[in-house]
Amino acid sequence: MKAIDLKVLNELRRDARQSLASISLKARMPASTVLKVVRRLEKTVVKKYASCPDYAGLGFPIRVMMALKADDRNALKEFLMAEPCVNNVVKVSGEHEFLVEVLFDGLLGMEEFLEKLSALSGVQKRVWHVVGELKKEGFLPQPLLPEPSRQKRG
Amino acid sequence: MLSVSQRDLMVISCLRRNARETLTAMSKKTRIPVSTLFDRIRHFEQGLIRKHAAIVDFARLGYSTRANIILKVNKKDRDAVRDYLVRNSFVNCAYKINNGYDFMAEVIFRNMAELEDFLGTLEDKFKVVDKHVYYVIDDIKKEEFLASPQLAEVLCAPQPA
Repeated sequence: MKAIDLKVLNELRRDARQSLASISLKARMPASTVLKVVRRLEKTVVKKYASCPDYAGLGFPIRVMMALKADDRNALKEFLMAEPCVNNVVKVSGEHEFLVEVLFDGLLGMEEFLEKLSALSGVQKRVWHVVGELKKEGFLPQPLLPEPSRQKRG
Repeated sequence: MLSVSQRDLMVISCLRRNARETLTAMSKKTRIPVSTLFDRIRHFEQGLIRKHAAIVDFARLGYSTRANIILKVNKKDRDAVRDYLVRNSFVNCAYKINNGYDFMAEVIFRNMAELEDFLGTLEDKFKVVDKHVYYVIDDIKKEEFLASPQLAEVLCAPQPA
């Protein structure tokens, strides 16, 4: 990736809502160049722009991480995709198949979700409650990460 | 119980779907005036919204090794581990958790060797009592909670008596 692309990406990671003019000042390049780079990044490495809220402040104080596995992986995946309270799902390797982040407005909502989950065949789970968020989407921005060291020729 | 109005939730829902959406486009979708949207978003950014972030495919940047690490550490090391995770460049997300463990961290590296170095350094610096490592294969769903306008309407619908 070009250095200018990484500079713009850093800024978008820091604050995705900032204007092209603001990025232009910080990255020290013309706004027209920033626009081209942003469009390029949107076609390549940027999946989406999302605001990250304080869920507890919005009225969703219960945030849970779950490691899940079931007899029917596809049924579990469909269930997780359809449930609106599920924020993130990643497929993982190891003793479970999916790592899931779920949010609820109260314990009743969580219980209802767990009941629906237990209706799936052979569900095994580990559950952790999130007590506090320490860092969110913090990989980049930062000083440009060093390039991997290159092998010497000859 | 929801602590914001339906209008505010619709705005947040728009920002969850696309944090770079223009005020004009948002105004057409939400039927909220641009000036009101501007004020509400400024207000949200004082507390309710922690940040607006570009969600990136790290593998395309050359960082193809991702893992979620669940850690239990010695009580005396908790503060130090928390600070270490917050400051470390390769930690994307970090949470304080319960149920027998202390932290969950999503880490991103170029390759397995770098991940193993990170884990080794963690265990050298701090007393790690237990850990689980889940290696990420793929994202199935990413930042979708409250991204649906239908959910916003459902959440704000009057509750049945």
